[in-house]
Amino acid sequence: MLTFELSQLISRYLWRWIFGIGVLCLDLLFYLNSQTSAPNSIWEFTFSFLTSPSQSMLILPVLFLMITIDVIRLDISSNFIQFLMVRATARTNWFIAKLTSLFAMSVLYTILVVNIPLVIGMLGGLDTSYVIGEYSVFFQTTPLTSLISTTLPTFIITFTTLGTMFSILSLYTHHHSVSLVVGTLICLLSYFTYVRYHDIGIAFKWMLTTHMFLLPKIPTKLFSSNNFSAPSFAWSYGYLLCLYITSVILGYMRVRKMNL
Amino acid sequence: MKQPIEFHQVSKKLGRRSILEHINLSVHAGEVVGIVGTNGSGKTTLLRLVTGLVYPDHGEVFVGGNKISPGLLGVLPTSVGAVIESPSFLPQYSGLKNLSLLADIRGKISLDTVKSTMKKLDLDPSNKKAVQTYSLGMRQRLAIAQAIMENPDILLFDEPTNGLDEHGVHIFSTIMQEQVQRGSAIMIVSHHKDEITRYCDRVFGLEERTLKQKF
Repeated sequence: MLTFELSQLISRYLWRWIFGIGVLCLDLLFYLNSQTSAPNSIWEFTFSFLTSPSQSMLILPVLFLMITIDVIRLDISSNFIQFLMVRATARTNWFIAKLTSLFAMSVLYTILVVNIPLVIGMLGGLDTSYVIGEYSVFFQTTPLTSLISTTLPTFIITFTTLGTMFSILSLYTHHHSVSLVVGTLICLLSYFTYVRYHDIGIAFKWMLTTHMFLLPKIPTKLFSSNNFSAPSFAWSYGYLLCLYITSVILGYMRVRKMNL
Repeated sequence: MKQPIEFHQVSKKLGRRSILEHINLSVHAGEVVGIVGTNGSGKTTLLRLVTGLVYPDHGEVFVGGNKISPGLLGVLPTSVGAVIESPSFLPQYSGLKNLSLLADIRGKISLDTVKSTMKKLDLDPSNKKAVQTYSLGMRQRLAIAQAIMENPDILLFDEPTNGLDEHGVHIFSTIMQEQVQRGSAIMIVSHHKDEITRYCDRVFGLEERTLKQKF
């Protein structure tokens, strides 16, 4: 069942991946146009994009939801489930395959959102060496490995949690569009919390996609521990893991007995 | 001795509506049992209970001697082939690709077996067209091929000749004879009397949520 699911990761959702990449490219072009000064390198461009509040807390998560929202629900709504259930020995086999599929999609999506800006930057003629300009939010001494090692796991964990939560929600709401609306509203709420209440650390801690906003967590010129209390990476990962486990338990309880 | 399919005092509600009440039924190996009834009478729900797509609210369903119940893992029966309601395949793939992906889940049969099963249903395995371009009749044949290709002990058909032309019906009849000779236990659900009388050893009517033997 796992091999079956993973083999269709791209092909079954091809048009959505194409749509997602298209929207991402447009998003990047708008972002580039909105900058007051040109980035000094593809790395500065990429990480300033990925750490932008609107991108990390709203646009990228919502785009991921649009691609993955019915990963669990699709087999049921299309009546393809009958062909799968007579070949699975237990419903949980199918459910575990779906969870693995969602994780794989979040890894793939993270790879895309990191690499597409790099490619667009290259095509735009930006310097490919690691150069941080003096007006960047990042310190010029910030190592590239530090940016990569914080961005990749945080994005993967958050996207996995997000995708799983709202895919499982669609099992309860009976239609994925309701889950998509709820997921989008949650992302909006996270972004609004930052815009309006970013000096209130407690509001920041309990939102969902605020944990993807990396600028307060890593040394930057914009935030310091004196003026902003962002949750640590450990806290964020722990919180997201709790949300993920809760979602999986609720999903398991539903899948085990529901009418398919 | 346990029969391939057994229903013991099975009741099922869908939402608030009671669909089945106190259903008792057993289907023997090599037997074809037909279920007739009006639309919405619960015929399809009977098949879904055998596949584990739904579980009974009361009573027990045994398939292949194993009780089908949620348990810890959501138990499903093994060795069942089914075509229930309007079957849906992965639309972007060809018929062969669809069936070979499904066959790979259990890995019990080879690609050659998949191809020979398709040919039995007069489907061309080399046809690269996506299933979404298939006619209703072709999709129905593909669904039947999917159901029989792994030689299951139990076969479940919901309106099996729906969309089939005369030649397709003839092929289905041949397949039914082969499966009965193989010793498969078969349930057919239909609201066409001709279909039922042609294939079935016993026929039950689903009326007012209970089964009544017709012949």
